[in-house]
Amino acid sequence: MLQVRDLTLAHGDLKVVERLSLSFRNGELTALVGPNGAGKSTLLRALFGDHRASSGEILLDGERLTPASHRAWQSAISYMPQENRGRMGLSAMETVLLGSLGRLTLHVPEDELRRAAIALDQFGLAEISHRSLDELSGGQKQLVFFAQALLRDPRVMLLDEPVSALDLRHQHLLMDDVRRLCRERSMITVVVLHDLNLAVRFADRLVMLCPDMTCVDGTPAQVLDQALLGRVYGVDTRVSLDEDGHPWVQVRGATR
Amino acid sequence: MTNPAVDLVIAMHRRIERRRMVALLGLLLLLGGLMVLDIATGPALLPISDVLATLAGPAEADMTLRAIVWDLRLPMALMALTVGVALGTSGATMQTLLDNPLASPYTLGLAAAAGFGAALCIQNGGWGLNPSFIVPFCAFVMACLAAATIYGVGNIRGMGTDTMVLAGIALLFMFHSLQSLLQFRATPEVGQQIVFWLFGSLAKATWTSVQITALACLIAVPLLMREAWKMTALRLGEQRARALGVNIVWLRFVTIALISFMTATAISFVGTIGFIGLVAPHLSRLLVGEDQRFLLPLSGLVGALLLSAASVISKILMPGVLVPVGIVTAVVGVPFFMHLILSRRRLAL
Amino acid sequence: MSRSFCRRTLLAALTAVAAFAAPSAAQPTKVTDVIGREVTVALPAKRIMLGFYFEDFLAVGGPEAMNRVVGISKAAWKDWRPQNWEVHLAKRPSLDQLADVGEVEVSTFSVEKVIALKPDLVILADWQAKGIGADLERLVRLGIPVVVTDYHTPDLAKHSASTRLFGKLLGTEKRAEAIVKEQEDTVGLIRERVARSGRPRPKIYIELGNKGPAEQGVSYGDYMWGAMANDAGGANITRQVVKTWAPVSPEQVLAAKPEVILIAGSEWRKHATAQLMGEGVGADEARARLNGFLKRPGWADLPAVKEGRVHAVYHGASRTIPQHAALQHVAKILYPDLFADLDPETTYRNFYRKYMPIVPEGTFMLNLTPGKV
Repeated sequence: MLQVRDLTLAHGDLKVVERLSLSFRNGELTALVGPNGAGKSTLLRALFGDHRASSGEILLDGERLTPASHRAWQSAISYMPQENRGRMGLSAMETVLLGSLGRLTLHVPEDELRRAAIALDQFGLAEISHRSLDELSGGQKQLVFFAQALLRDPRVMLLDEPVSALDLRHQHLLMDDVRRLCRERSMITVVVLHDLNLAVRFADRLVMLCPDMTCVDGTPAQVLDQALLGRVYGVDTRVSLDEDGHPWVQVRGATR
Repeated sequence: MTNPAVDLVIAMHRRIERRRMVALLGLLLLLGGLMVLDIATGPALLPISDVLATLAGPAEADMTLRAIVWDLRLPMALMALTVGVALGTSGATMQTLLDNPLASPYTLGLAAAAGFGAALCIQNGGWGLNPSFIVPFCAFVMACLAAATIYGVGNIRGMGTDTMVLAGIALLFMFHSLQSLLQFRATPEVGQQIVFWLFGSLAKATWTSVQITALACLIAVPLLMREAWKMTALRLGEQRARALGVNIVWLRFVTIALISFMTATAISFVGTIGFIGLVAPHLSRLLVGEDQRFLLPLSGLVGALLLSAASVISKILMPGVLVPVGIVTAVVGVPFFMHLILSRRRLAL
Repeated sequence: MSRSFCRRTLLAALTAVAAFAAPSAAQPTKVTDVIGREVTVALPAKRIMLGFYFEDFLAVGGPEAMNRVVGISKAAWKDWRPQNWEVHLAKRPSLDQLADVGEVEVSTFSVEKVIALKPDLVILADWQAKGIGADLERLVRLGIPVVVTDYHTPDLAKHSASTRLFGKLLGTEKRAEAIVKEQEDTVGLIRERVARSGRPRPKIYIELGNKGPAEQGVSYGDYMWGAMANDAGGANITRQVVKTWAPVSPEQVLAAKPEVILIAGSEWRKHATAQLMGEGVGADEARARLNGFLKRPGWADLPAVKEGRVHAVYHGASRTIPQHAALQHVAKILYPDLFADLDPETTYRNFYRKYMPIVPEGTFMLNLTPGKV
């Protein structure tokens, strides 16, 4: 279990998250939602150990994140940032291999190669394994990064807007894989999403970070409330239930 | 359970690695040949048979031949090799570290600082000490100072690579101005010596300076290779590299320290030879891509090749005259680089 | 005559003949060069690499000495003093065949070439020795004797030492002594007269006229022309602000109000307004160029210009043995009445007539107003 207790995060003097307390369980996929600037990325980075908390603490399986335990902490977590880069120049295979960074030597051991090749194959990327990342589509790229993240055998998966730049099909493909592997490996998974319907479809739980530094935590049905959405996102919405009984959000317009 | 797709992926990967190794070895052989050519050419216009005979059997050779081949040309050829390796490897590292294809070992102002250090030393007549020791030493110290400043600035508030590059450019201008000031106030003889130093030339290579430079490379390059995978990770961006467990702060420190050490040593003996550190990585990238395990050593090799070739050109350009090699690399390097940019072919091994 | 007497006479005669006929074996001789280095040279040297001071070498060694030179720094003669080179070349066409070892200032000097010449003696100017830095030791380590001479220094004692050094190396010590004496006498006479006169030093402004009136050429500190002006009893107005040579600002010249102006010129025909002096230069064209300088802003009000005390001198007449002739000229323009009996151009030409294989034709010392100093 990943726990956040009384966490306050700030950028310089500007607080983005105040006295937040949350728990994330194994095998549970949490969607982290909220408008821009609410602190989603910051929270994710803090969970990874890349952003120092102003106050409060983070614990993984009861162990606190401290400067001393920083390295061990990060080795148990896979963090996929939102970063969009220019030319990277590495092939899909080389990229996935980097998931084993700590174990790579000048001559790559056979078993590391095998693990990486298997990971690529599992996502259907075996054929393009030696193509350069820069030549791949957005969806394929994200799958490569996901495969890389999995190679680390993490306890926790933190994904920052992994599908924002993808087409419809690849959005679903990727989220499907994320959820499947989250269950299979019993990983604690936190995904930042902009698309609320996607969040509903794939997440077990929604955490909504609000601009007033409060947070709403619960199942999609509990969190998605018209009034709340109006307040938090500044949009006029209609929340209804689909055939399977899942809520879905229809945005009618921005409130003025 | 064997999966043919997986086996294929692995086989492909190994094949690519093998091809890259072959490229490395092929270029190594080419370098050997070029070095022989380098030793065979020179202002004294010796016949190649004499040169080869002297190389093979120094004890039997005529004293003058031996002096020219073993005391003058061989150190020069070896210097071209070691300096080329130093500049090429440093250039590749710098381009990866700063994520900038225009970066070179001189980007952080190292060369300008070294030039100023040398100028300062020459201006003061080396304070009476042996100039072949004290001038390189001053150049080296000043270059290290510059590197330390950049590193310090880059980490004061965790500034990004762009800021480091800008800080480097600022240092570059500052040292250039200081050096110009020195030149302005210098007597003509001193001024001429400073300019000569700035040109960049292999002509002053001695066995001692070759050994020191080679030692610097032998220390720095293996240590850089240890960080090769981390630098490959850096190609994915700082955030992703950090996510993979790379300590960016430490990596920056180690790599800047190593390339400063290596570059400063090299240029303190030969002056600021330009373009090698910029062009070698690009040529290498065409052959082996961004896997730093290959890119780093190959850039060193290509650097050595380019500098040896430039050395040969500098000797045959005007028969009997030795043009400072820094002029050749600049004059030949620029159009060559333009061609490179415009053709943009990828050999993708 | 007795048989023993015949035998002894024959023996003596044979010995005498043998002494003349046998080739002189190379004797290792220790010399001390002008920067204090002790060098052992096998004399007479048969393969000399001469870096600079070509005319001085000829003056002290005579034309025979040049026969023993195998290599020179060609650019330092041919490019820097082209007319002089042409005149010498006409007299000795083999000059062009001498190996060229490159020129230090443009970094084309090649140690390799020097070694390939297999010289048994290398003579360098002090500025060349400094310019090649560590390569000097390289040559020494390879067993090549390197001797450094210096006629650039303001220290005249070193000039004499250089001349004597040439004499020793070339086996013409008597000739060297004669030259040294002529120089020292000339300098001594000038110094003594100036000292005896007890007059205040006239302010003199010296400039190298290679850039023409439009741009500021270099002026001198205690070096070259500046040092000479000092020796001849002048007050060099740029002495404090310039160490060796560098351009000064035009304002400084105006503020200092020099009483005498000296422009150094050479055969710079490529430049439209530079001061022309030297080999093949006519007095009229030299004077025309000198007049150009008078038109500089503010110069018309300078005491030197108002008095017509503007002069020119051949730049090639400094840093060389016959520079005592130039010194006479400088002394004469500073104290015209004191040195009315001196004729610098004749001194210059006579030196060449006596010691050099050629005689220069041209203008080497010039006064703005012909006849008047």
